[in-house]
Amino acid sequence: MNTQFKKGVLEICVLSYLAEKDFYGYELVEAISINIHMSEGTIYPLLRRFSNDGLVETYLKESQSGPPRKYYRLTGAGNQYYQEQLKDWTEFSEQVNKILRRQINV
Amino acid sequence: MYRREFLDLLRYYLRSYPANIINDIIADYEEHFRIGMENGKSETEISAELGSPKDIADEFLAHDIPPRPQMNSNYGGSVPPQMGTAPNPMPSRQTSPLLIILMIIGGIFVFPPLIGVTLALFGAFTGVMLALLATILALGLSGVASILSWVLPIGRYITFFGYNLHPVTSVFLGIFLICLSILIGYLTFLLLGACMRGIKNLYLSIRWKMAKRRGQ
Repeated sequence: MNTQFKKGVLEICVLSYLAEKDFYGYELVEAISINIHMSEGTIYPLLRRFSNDGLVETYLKESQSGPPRKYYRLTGAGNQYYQEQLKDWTEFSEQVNKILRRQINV
Repeated sequence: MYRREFLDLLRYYLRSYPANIINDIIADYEEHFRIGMENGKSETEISAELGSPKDIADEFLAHDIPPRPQMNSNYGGSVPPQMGTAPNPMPSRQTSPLLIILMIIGGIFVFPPLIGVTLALFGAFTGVMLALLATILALGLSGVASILSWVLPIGRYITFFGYNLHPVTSVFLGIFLICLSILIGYLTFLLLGACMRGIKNLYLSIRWKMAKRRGQ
């Protein structure tokens, strides 16, 4: 699939998962790469950017096997940003689909 | 690619960052490798899934330049940050009329000498090249003449620095001269290539610096 598509969509997908629960990096990468085939390494730059912008905060939590893992949690600002992105995305995808269906249904 | 190799490459491509940030980023990928291996994946499998270290580093660098130190503190949640754009772009530079006048005056005084120097350099370069070309030609022709003087005897010995040369000597002299001209020709070719490469690099680095200045 077009990499530009993926880049744009990755952000909102990560936010969507984090809105549900806290994830550690590997877990989040797995969750997304099951659905979207992509270079998994590019999620970490995104998480770092979210963290720099205050949308996400990190903490360490013990795991049953091995050393503690770094978890990512959505902040209040992050959640608000997600809601807005979600609204934008829904509207945008509807508009695009409207255009595309016009072609298909003719 | 093995884990060590992947992390080293990533560290290399991120080298413009301060060390503590690099370590922080590397730690995330170390954790990723560790958990992946706990789940039974091989190092090469994991690094293949992660993608190229260069691309990942580019992804980090693309959004962190220019650096933005002031986030987090004043971010109360009223205005979400625009992703991918710097929050405070540089204020556009004001150019005062006085500065423009100064620049014009400066230009008048600076440009003619600059053009002169450039032309002089160009002239010197052309001169050297032509001289080398002439040398090659002269040596080559002398060589050919030395050989021909024996093959087609015109009834004269070649005189070389006052000595009359034996025909066989003159043939070898001819071969020597031709070889010398080929050698000098090859060296000239190398010199020309090096000059071209130097000029190209200079041009690229100037363009890169200007683009960087404009971007920041």
